[in-house]
Order: sequence, then structure tokens, then C-alpha cells
Amino acid sequence: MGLNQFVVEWPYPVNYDGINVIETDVLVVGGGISGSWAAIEAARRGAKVVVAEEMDVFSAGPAGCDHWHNAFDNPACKVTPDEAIETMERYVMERGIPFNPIGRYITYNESFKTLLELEKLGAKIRDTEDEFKGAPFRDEETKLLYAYTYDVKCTLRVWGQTFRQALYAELVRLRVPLYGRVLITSLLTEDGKIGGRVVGAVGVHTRTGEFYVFKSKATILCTGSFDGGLRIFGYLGYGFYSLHSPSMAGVGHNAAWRAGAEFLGIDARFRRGTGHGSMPSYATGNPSNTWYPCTIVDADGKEIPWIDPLTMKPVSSIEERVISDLRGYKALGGPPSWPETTPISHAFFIPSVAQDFLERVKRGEYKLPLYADLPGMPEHERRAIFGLMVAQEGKTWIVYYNLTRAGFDPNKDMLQSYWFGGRHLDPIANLFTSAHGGFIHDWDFRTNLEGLFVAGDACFYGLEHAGAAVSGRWAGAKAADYAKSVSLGKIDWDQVERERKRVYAPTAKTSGVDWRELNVAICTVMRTYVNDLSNEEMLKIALKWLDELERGEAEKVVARNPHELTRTLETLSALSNAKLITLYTLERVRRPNLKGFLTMILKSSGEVEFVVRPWRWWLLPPYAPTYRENYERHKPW
Amino acid sequence: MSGEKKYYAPLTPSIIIEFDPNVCDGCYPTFREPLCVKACRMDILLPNPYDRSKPPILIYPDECCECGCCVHACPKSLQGAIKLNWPTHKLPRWKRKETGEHFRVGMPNPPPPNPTPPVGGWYPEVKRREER
Repeated sequence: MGLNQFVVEWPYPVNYDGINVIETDVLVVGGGISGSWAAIEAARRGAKVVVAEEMDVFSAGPAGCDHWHNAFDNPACKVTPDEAIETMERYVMERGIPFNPIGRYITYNESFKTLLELEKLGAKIRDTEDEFKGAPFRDEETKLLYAYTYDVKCTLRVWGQTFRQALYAELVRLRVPLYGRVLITSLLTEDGKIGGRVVGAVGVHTRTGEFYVFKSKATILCTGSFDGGLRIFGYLGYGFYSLHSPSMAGVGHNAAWRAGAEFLGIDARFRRGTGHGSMPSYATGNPSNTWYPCTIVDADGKEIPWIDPLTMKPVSSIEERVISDLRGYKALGGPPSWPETTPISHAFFIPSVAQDFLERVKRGEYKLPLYADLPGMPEHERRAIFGLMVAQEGKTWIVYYNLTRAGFDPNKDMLQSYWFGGRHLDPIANLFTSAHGGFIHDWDFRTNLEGLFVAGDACFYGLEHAGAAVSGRWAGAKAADYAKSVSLGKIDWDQVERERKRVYAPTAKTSGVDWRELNVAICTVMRTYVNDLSNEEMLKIALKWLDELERGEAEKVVARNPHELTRTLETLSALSNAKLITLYTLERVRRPNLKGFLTMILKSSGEVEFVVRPWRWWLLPPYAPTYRENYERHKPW
Repeated sequence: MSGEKKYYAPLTPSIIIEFDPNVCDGCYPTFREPLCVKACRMDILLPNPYDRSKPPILIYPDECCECGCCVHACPKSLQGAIKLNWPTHKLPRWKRKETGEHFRVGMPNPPPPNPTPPVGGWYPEVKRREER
């Protein structure tokens, strides 16, 4: 049989009736950065551990690392973990900016040590070829390369593409069973009750459609952030782009929510995030993240000014952008006053391009379009930005590959920039945010559900790459210890059957609605009613239409093969998550003066309960009163 | 319910992922599945169902997330076995500083490729150190 131009026979054996039952001490749901580290640490502690991952663990998760952040435990770092957490509490949390104090403080104390562990596994973190000899961001002795603020030394430039490979090789070496292409759709609880002990999970193979039942003593949710919602709430067309793993469609979040895990919801009034539908990220010039501190120029080559976020004064040289002492304040001394509009970055108050820039364009001071002036940067910066950061961080390897093959030369060419204080100039991006929800956890990364741990970006308010690695290790250690103290829980097979029925329903239909259509329908409701202008009325209308979709079109979704079934299950989770976001946003609208943390829990009655946790709940009993004491008390090594 | 039933995947004539059939051997017989298929995060590449030593087949190109993991994973990436063609409406553009000329990826009569490899090479070695 030849290849038909428009249809191809499914190459994998489809078996919707097949059931595989796997018993383990520790089940890791999600094999990205946090999941890989969790599995490695649990396995090293002698626990029987398995990983279930929607993709192949070979390239699961973010597949790279742009910077290694929060290395306040680096002996060369000017700032201590305690100074860092104090600053973040004062200037970040108190301003209502999402921030996970438990995960961050632990990361501040473990980040650099974890990076060195990663190096032992084969990751490349040093300029051993001496390409950057003499560069101001290089430590000549250790050959480490720093970023953002070269004198503070809490962020490193690394060869992120090697990280995924090093972790994968270690998992294989440790013989951890990796169940790739298995999408976990539900957690199993004791007696099938919401809020009960988590005793395992079920999932479906994305190629064969077979069903998987995992029985576990401990389960670690490592399913990344909710950002996949960016995909789901975006209109798919040719080429969607997400900075995060496309498998982060919120299925894991939805599973843990339905099991009764305490969830810090997403207030959709605060738009945030990068992702869906933008120009290929980092394949356009910009002044931040990977591209920091690249100079941006206007159509006539006029430089866009940079502003010191603390003094609000212009930053006149490239050196001032990267050396905090040159900016006339100490990173932690604190400013005399702190304007509400101050942009804050995780590397501690680094300069950014002036936020009123677009106004100045309107006044005729600057002329669009904008370009990243790589040729105008000092050679070591140009090479660091394009040859190291863009080329080696992992996810953007393809950007270097495609651009250089197309003839782009950073020594001569200025890449067009669409970036400005968000992506106002990007013709494609129309962002809907869903970032920064997540599960509440304690200093052991336990959730409120017995037997369920969480790590990485699935933690409330999320953790970046180093935080994912650190929390993964920590949770892996704690879950392995916990698993030693308990026996396998009893699976409620009625719950398994209910989930099987739900999962396979779309495969039994021959006509109906394609997941794409449902996806766009959800997207339209969310973009229309749930946004930064939402009022109570709009949110109630949104809930009505989402409910209707759930009872209507969602019941009619058709999946013609296991791949379409996977996308369908993601979309159904997205619909449920859209309701969660709307419900949470509605509650926030109803409590305009709320201080503290508003969380939500699904009760066994099916009701949603909102909980207000007090400010600094993580330092109140049963926890110790200081960060340091909690860290020391809970440290697993 | 499954046994005798046949399953199909519809194809769309898009080349967001493009193979060079003269270079790509489907990773056959070196790897159990082509590495691009293994790496694909959306699982939209299928091993060639008719001849494993031929290039994989792209299904559902609209789901491509443009991560380039397939190209990165390819043992013959530098020989051009596989390409990620960014969608036409998203092609990056640039301006040559000295001359003011405008360029974009995929333009007719493109400038010559820039042969400079990344810092540390295209594929830095990942090797475990035994001391722990």
C-alpha cells in the first residue's frame, strides 16, 4: 500500500480496551525538570519510582534553561539567601506580585549546589573553551559566566541544552521506568472520595489509547505551570508558539483539583505571560531575558533609553545596565522611595527600557520599527547573547540554527524587535494569561492531600528552572521517605471505571465536534468575558456559557485516534480549568480589599470552598517563625 | 472494540517540518524510533508506516509548537535531514546596519548562510562524571 496524499494509516496498535496496572512506591506525574529531579532523588534513596509523562521524557519539560537563577548559595554571590528573601518579601510580595516564599527560600539555599550536581551528571556550565576570557561577566578562576548584574553573581549563563540530556541519561542509568506518551488524566483517592489520600493515578497512552492504572504510596505532581492554558485559550492556527512545554495544558492541575487539592487560583484580571501565537520567541530582538542587556535602536538607529528602576534615572552606558554598583545604589540597600509603577525583575531590580517609550513614539521622539543592535554591542556581549544564550539555552537552539542558515550575521545585522513592555508591537500575539495558579504546599512540598506532593511550576505561584530542580529534589526525597512509612492504599475500582468511561467517550462517536472547535469556543468566551476589565456580571455570563459548553459541545467531541483523544482530553481539562479561573476571578472581584492568600478547594460535597490564608501563613504555626529555621528543620539532607 | 478497526490520521499539505529524503534514513536501523519522532513534544511526527528507512510523516501540522526539538534531536541535523520552516506569517526580519538592506528568513535570493557555530559547538558533550 502506497502513501495516500491525504491520509495515513495509524502506525501504532490501537487498544482502547487494554489496561496496564503498575505498582510503585513513588509515582512522578510529569517528567520535565522537577519531575526528573524528583525521580532521580527518590530512586537514589532506594524508593521504587516510576515517571508518567505525556511526551517522551527524552524531551519533556522546557527542554532547556535560559539562565540558572537564584544562586544565592553561590559562595561568590554578594547577596545571602536571607537578604534575598527579605527583599523579595518587602518589595515583591507586599506589592501583590505572585511569589512562592517557601519554594523560593529553599531554592535560594540550594540553587547553586543543585547546579553543581547537574554538572556531575554531564551538564555544561563553564566556559572551558575560554571563549569569554577577560569578559566582565566571566569569573576567570571558575570559568562561570554571570548574567544581568555581573557583580551580584546570583544568575548564571549556562549551556541549557545539555541539561535535559544529562537528566534523561541519569534516569536511564538509574533504570527508572519511564512511561512516556502516557497522559495522566485523574488522580485516584482512597475510596474514590474527594479529599481522601491519593493512592495513585490513571492515564491513557497517547499513541495506543491503552489505559494505565498506577498504584502508588506517594505521588508527586510535576506537571508544570498552568501556562499551557495559553495554548488552549489561544486560537490555534499555523504555528502556535509557547515558551513553556506544550504538554502543560492544565490536565495535571485539573486532576489534582478534582481530587481536592488546595489550589491558589488564577485571577484573570492580571494579564501576564508570554506564549501563544507570538513571533518565534527570542528569534526577534528584545532587551530582556535571553537578550539582556541588548541595545534597542529605532528606525534611524537612535538608541532607546534605559531606566534605573530604583532611581528612575536614565542608565547611560551598557556597563551600568550590568553592574549594580555603577548605578549608584547597592542592590539591597533599598531605594529612598519606591514608585508603584516600578518594573521588577527576578535578578533584582535591573534596568529596563523606558516604559513610556510608546508615548514618546507618538510624540515623534522615536521612529518605529525597532531593532536589536547586536553589531553595536561589545563583542563579548554580542557573542554571549546570540552565540551562547540564543544558541545554547535549549529551546531556542532552532532560532540560532534557522537564522544563521538564512544568513543572519550578528556582527552586521540588526534583528527586528517587537518587544516593548509586553508585546505591543507583535502583530500576532494576543495574550490571554493563565499563569501563576498552583497548589499550596508546606515546607516538605506536601499538598493538603495525604500522599500528594507537588514540585516545580505546579507549586503555587510557580518556580523557575532552578526552583523546579530544587523543589523536585526536595519533594523526591520527602516522598521517598513518606513512602517508607506507609503501605499501598486501596484503589477504588469504581472510580477507575468512572474515569475510563469519561476518557473514552469521545472515541465512541462517529460525528460531532472536533476538539479544535471546542477549544476556540472556550477561548472566545474567555477573551470576551474574563479579562482585565471583568466585572461580576461578565464573569457570571462567562460561567453560564462555559457550563453550557460543558453540557453541550463538550459532550459531542469526537476523537478518531489516540492522538486526537489526547488533544480532546486536554481541551476538556481546559474547559474545566476555564471555569476554575472564572470562579476564582469572580471571588476576587467580590473581595476587592482582600489581604492574604485566597485559595480554593473542591469539597466532597461538590461545593467549592474559598479559604483565606493570612499573610505569612508559611511562618505561622505549625511552621517555625523564621525562614532559616523552617529550612533547617525540613532539609532532607 | 478496537481489534479489527483501522485508524487513520488525516494529512495536511504543509511543510512546517520538512525532510530531505536524500539525507534522512528514518534513523533506521540505529534507533528504535526516529529521534525526531521521539523528541516531538506534540507527537505529530509518525515513523513512516510504509518504509521505516524513509522520512517520518507529519500529521496535524497546526499543532506544531515550533520548539525545534525534532531538528535538535536529529543525528543528521547539520546535514539538513530535517528543517523547521517557521510559518510564513511569523518569519523573523532584520536590517543590515551598514547598508540598510532588509532581509527575512525564507526570502528568495537569500544572503549566504552564516557558518559560525554556537559557543561550545552545536552539540556540547554531555558526559557524566563518576565522582559523587
